[in-house]
Amino acid sequence: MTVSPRPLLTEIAAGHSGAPIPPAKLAYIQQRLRNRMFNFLLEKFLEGQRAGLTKAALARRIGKTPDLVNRWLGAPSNLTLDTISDLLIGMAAQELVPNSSSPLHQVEHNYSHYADLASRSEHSAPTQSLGFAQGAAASLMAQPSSQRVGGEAAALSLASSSNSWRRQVGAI
Amino acid sequence: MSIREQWKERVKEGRLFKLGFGIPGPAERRIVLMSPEIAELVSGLWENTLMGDRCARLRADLENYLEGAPLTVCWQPFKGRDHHQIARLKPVEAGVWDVRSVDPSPALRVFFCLAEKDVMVALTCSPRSVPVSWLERPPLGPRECKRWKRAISECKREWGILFPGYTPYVGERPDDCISKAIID
Repeated sequence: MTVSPRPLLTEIAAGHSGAPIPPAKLAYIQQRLRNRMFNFLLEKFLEGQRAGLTKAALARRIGKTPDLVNRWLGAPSNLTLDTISDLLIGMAAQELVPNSSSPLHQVEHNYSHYADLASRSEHSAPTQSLGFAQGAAASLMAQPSSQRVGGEAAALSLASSSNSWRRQVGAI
Repeated sequence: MSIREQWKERVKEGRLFKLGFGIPGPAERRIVLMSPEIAELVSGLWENTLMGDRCARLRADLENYLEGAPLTVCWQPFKGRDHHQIARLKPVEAGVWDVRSVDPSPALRVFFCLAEKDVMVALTCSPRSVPVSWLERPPLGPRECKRWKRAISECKREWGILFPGYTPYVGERPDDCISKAIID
């Protein structure tokens, strides 16, 4: 399903002559990129690790200290274009090839862990710690997609929208 | 009633809010359920202030959890380093964790419990070191500070109100609690 631009994207969708994009929305997009880049590098490192790569070996390869490499691979905020370049070439003999896509008209993914768990009984779920009631294997109703975040109308899934505050929370 | 039925019920009642992606696309490989306190912070009604910037980034960090990304986990309380994204807090049997949203300043800590593996119930939020006008809670201060204990107690209390008679999920190993957990 293709969804139309939602409130988050209103200014982004407005085009070159549109209103300024609010700083908080810019920050949200920036942080998504940071996290995405960090996850990409971390996955590369884990791949390399399965083939015998260590942080010490990586540090030696790119002429940095293990501590510095540890910091780079530790948190999204420590990355720069140069560190990304060094890590990628050292870990995987690869370089980054820029590409981009529009956040507008993104298709909602059809997998949701929430809906998945909701449709399964707890008997097939991971064991609970002591103190949890175990028995009832209720078949829980999946929430309608219109109520999920990622649905067109709401950024947060609101099972009940009977008061104004909850309706407000839906907007992003 | 199972814990799963319980958290589903809390969502239906509007006492917990399910986080989704601000921009659709990725699969939701984990679950983030939020108290009204957390939901209000990340709802997207952000003003053009430091608060707006900080809460927008916090939302992106929570969505990163939702997406099922690998997470650097501090498994041993008090051993947290700058790079850990989430941490288990003392006493571990209480099942209280925090999300470390550290950049930019002010750093924030979102206290949460797990209802099941990969099912985060985010309950309270505190600034880490400096007072923040848009958060009622005081800064946590150094690890040994009493405010940490108080914050953990408040998180446990919120859990108890939502799930009376149920304890948070406590696993033996990181993988029992969170998929793609990275320990170093």
